[in-house]
Amino acid sequence: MKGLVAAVEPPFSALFLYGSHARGDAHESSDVDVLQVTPAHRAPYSVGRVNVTCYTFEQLLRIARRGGLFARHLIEEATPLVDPEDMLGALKSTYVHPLDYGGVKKEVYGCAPLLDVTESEFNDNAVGLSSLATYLIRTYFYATAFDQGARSFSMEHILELVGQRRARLILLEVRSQLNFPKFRTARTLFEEITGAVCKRVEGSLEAFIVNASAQNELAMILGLRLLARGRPFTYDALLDLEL
Amino acid sequence: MPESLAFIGDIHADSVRLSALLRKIEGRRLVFLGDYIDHGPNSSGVLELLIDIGKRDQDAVFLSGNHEIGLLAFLSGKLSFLEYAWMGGLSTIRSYIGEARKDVRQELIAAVPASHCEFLSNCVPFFETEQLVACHAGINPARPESREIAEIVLGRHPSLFNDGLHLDKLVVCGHYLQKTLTPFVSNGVVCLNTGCGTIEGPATALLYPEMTVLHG
Repeated sequence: MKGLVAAVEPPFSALFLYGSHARGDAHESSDVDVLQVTPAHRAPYSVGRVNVTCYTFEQLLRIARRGGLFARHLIEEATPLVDPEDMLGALKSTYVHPLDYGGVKKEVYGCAPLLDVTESEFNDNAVGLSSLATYLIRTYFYATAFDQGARSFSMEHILELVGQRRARLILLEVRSQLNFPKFRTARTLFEEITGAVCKRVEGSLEAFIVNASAQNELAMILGLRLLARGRPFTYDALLDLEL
Repeated sequence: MPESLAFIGDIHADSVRLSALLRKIEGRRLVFLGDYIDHGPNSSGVLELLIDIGKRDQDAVFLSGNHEIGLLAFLSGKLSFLEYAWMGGLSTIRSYIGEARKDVRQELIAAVPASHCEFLSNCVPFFETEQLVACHAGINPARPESREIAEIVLGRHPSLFNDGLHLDKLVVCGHYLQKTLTPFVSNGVVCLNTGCGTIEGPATALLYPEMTVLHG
């Protein structure tokens, strides 16, 4: 636990372990998932096998009020590493259980154009696109499974419930091999399970983000993250300008 | 007797709340504290309103906020799409071009009227009298004499909100979101960013020298 806290780049107001290591069903190959509560927007990053996701506390509260899956994941399974202000308790008391996760599925469906890339575009950002495909597929499965009464965020349990055990290998390979054929396989799986077509009508990712921002916050944020390619981007850019 | 002023805090593209607030203010010199655009739904509409006010009222003062500088920087290519988007600029882009097709920056350049660019370029960094200084981000308490844009428009000075802060002049600013949706008012500092256009807060004005607060 101490090693995990040391791996995180400050500042943070709380740190939580979640995912398989928090549930206790991690394999040797499982990554370690950590949530870092940050004072300002920050891109996710990795330190070795530790994947650090960053949210501000206000963002988490907003997700909890909307009954978002990520907030549910945290309140059901997260283990505090550092939480002096009991943010986990605040999330639990704020969380509003939705009637169903149809809204999440609709947002994921609307992200399909983000996966419309050529091989050379993929090679330009293989890590970002592979993890995006995995994220969208997993989120769609979570939403489907919890509408069917799932009890755990364990992916094996989820895949069993939605009758998609074959997807486990696809999800593993797309992230471990980072090549275009595996990405295409994952994209086909995404199209099969969601019924969406991965086709972008806009002539650029920027244009898609502008249009998506009117009605699909998930597509907007994931599009911006793709564009950032893991680089942090902050308001401070303005201070670098010659004025 | 000091001049009767009305300071107006961050608007962030909420033309409805801005109009409601302005209907409550009469017979005063208006000093707008910047951040007219981004986040909210109607950046172009807010600028139209302000340009109209400027035509009718030559004494009105329009200060620059970091978002006004951000839009100009995006238009001139000094700020990337990503950086401007992250500032809350996507809604501004949509308010001008409707649907984006490909080259967002070029489409925006083509859609923003020259009068809007002129208005943005003519916004000033501060307004100062013997009694007070008004600027978007407030002055830096460690360098109270500085009027550099990097400090008073783009900077962040959380120590303005410290207890016991002593400054020679009243500082009137916006910029620092007051999550309570009510303005911060102390003996030396007033902050009028009450979440208009960002967290569904009101547009807020301070009537000076009475120190009365109005909401729209």
